Formats: sequence, C-alpha cells, structure tokens
Amino acid sequence: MDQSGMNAKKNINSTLWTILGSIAVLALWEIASRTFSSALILPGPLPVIRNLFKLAAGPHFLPAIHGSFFRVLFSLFLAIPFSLLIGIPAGLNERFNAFLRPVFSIISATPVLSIILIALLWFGQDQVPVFAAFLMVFPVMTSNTIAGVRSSDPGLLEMTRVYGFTKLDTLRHLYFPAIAPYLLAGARTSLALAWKVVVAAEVLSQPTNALGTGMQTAKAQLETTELFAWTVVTVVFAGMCDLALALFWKRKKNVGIA
Amino acid sequence: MSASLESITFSYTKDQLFKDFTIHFDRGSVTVLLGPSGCGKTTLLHFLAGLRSPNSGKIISPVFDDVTDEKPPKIIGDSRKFLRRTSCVFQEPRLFPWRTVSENVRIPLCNLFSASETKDRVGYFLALVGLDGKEDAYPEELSGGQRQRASLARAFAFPSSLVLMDEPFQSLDVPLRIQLMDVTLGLLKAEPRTVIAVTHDPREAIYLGDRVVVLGGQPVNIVLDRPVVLSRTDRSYSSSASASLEALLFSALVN
Repeated sequence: MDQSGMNAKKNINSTLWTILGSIAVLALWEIASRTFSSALILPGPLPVIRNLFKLAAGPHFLPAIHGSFFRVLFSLFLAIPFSLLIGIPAGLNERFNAFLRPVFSIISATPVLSIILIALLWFGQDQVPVFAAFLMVFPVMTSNTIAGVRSSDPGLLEMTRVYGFTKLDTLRHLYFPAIAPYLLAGARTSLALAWKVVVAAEVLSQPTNALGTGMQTAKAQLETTELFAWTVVTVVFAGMCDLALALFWKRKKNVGIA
Repeated sequence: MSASLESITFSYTKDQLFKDFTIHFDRGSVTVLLGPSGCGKTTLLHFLAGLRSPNSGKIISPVFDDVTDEKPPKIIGDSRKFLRRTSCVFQEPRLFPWRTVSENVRIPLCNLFSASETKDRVGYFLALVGLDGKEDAYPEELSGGQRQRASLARAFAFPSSLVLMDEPFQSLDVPLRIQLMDVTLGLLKAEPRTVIAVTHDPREAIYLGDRVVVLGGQPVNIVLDRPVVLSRTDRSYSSSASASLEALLFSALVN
C-alpha cells in the first residue's frame, strides 16, 4: 500500500511536469511565430489548430487518416510473420544468423529515401509506403525475435527434451512465450518508425487517401498553416497508437504474460 | 523397468570422466548416488535421460529400450505408456513461468492421455504433493518448496518408468527437505518407479534410498555400494541406528 501510494504520488508529479512541458512548447512556438510574423514561414499554434478543425470538417480528413493508419498497421502485420519465420531459426542457429547479417546490414544502412525512390520504380502508389515501412521495421522485429529466442531458459529446454516434447510443442510452450514480450517491445519501436516512414513515402508516392499527400498538396500550394495542421494530425495519431500499445503491454505484464 | 550402464567410456576434455564404467539399477528401487562435485553424477543422469551419449558403451534405459512386457502398476490410463519414458526432477523447478501449476503438470501429458485421463492424473498427483488449491497459481506465486512439489507432481504424473533426480532438494532448508522427501516416498507408494537420485548429503541418501552408491575418482569408479536396510524411523535425521552408515558414507566421500 505504501508502495502504490508512493507510485501514485510519483505519477501525479510526472504528469504535472509533462503538462508544464507541453505548455512551454506551445508558448515557445507562439513566441517564435510572432518573431517571424509570417504565416508563410511559421504560423502560430492558434491558426494551425483553427486550420485543423477546418480540415477535420473537410472530405479528405478521415479517409487520409484511415489510409495512413491502415498502411502503418499493414506494414507491421506483414513484418511479424516474416520476422518470426527468419528470427526463430536465426536465434537457434548461429550459422544462419551470420549468413543473414549482410542482408540486415545493407537494409539498415540504406537511407529511407533511397528505399522509397527504388520502391516507386517497382510498385504502385499505394504499395510504396507499405513496402518502405516493412523494410524498415522487419530488421527491428527480427532482431527482437532473435533476442527473445536467446533469452529462453536452457534449463526449460532440457526439461522439454526429457519430457518428450515435439518440436512444435517446444515452439508453442517455450519459444513463443519467451519471444512474446520481445516482439511487443519491438512492435512499439516499429510503430513509431512505421508512422515516419509511411508518411515520408506518401509525400513522394501521393496515394489518394494519405496524410503525406495532404502535406505535399499543402506545401505545393504554399499553405504552410495547412502543412502544419497535417503534421499535427500525424503526430497526434502516432502518439495515440503508441499509447494504445503501451497500455496493452502494461495489461499483459500485469496478467503475467510478459 | 531396470536401467544400466555397461562399459561406458566418456570424456569432455582429454581427461577421461568414465572408463569402462558399469552400474546396474534394479527395477522399482531407489538408488541414491553420492560423490564430490564434478565426479560425473549429473553426466550419468544425462546418459540415462538420453540428453548425452557416451563415446562408447551400452545404455539400457526406458529412453532407448524397446517395449518389453514388464508391467508397471496401473493407476490411471494405459500402463504400456510408462515403458519407454523417463521423467526428471531438476535442482531448479523448471516450470513454465507463463503457465499455472496444473498446466505445467498437464502439458507433458496431453499428447499421451485422453483429456479426462489427463485431468484425473493432474488432479491426483497435485493432491498427493499437497498442492490442491494451488492449481491455478503461477509459479512465481509459489514458495520454493511448493515449486519443487509441482516439479515432483509433473515427474510422477508423466508416465515414466524411470525417475531421475538431480539434487532436487539442494536449495531448500533441512525441514523442507525432509517434507519433500516424505512427499517423494508418498508418490512412490502411489505409483512405484525406478528412481535414481543424485545428492551431496549422506543423510538425504539414507533417508530416501534403498541403496546408496558413492562415486569418486578419475575416471570415476564405485567407491562404496550399500543397500540401506533400516526402518522408516531408523532413517530419520537424528536416529542413532543410521549413525554408523552415515559415518561410513562420510568417510567414503572424504577419501
């Protein structure tokens, strides 16, 4: 009880400071925009928020969020089975792991924009963001899967061998539960990454319903306030996704899965 | 099902751990192996469990043997299932942390018995080890002694004819050790098995064993091999009747 009381107090304290931090950011933004006094270079927070409401009432708003959100999710759900398929054998077998290393080194060293530009040559408008985000997220998820496999208890493995577990049973009862918390942690990192890559790819590939398309259109028309508004929407949505996954993680931990 | 090692030769490094080593374990008896650390006791259990192969020699254990017509007693389920299997109680409980106590006991059984037989066996053995009421607890919610009870229940609920124990009570205090040895003896009364247990403690060997074997030397050999012919009360930790055997075991261990 003492412990929970202390935690609650700590939480209130940190929430207060987070709110103060948010106010400071908004104040700094306001001061900066007054200094420039040009809506073309740096519009203030209030006009941006007003523009946000205007966008929200418009016909492109919800489809754009829906489209981008779907691409982010799709790239993640595409990466999970692939990373399990590659990560589990790589975690079990050091040779396979070494064999794969060059591929992952190349993928992680390639600039995101190169991947997007190359993808533009290969795929249609709608697939480019998904492909680029998948390529960025896949190595993260795979290395987390490998770490999960390696974290599994060798004593438990010996137990499964004595008790005659089949390979499939060992996978199900030993490796999957050991991987799960690592995969969830990887998904959180990947989610933030996927939002950034998807929106960047959308700016270049211009799918019909996309936050990135909104940004590019606003920029082309020199509507800086609208560009800021689209950016705010993206930040808020990426943040909300992260929060949802964090809450999910916390609940799983309480239940004793992770 | 009896078990034996015949003319085993084995080495990890260039020093030979086993050289032409032979030992036989009688069916339905409890043999306790004593010996200094690193003398090869655990390796011997690994041979019998099929986790490691010797460089040469023959191993007769349920893991390798073909089905014979020896019939272990039937409690629940088909007795033929017992013949080819070995179970193990390790020094640590080695339970799945993400599974409840009853799931930990159940999982090794589910491919071997029907759902209702599995349920019956799990309930029966959890009650025998005194964990009824803790079925739905996770291992982290149990005390060290309770976790080891769950590990014992898993070893006996599993249809094995040979139970290997590798210093299973090492990390528990003496009163808990005695409690858990009593639990083990109770389990053996319910479903007799051939047991081979490794320990460092001569008093534990006297308490639990039908036969005590002291191993030592390099390559390892049998320093002492004695049947324990003492009544239950004479086996207790402070009993004077067991003192001479205890002294004998101590001197064999020290030399």
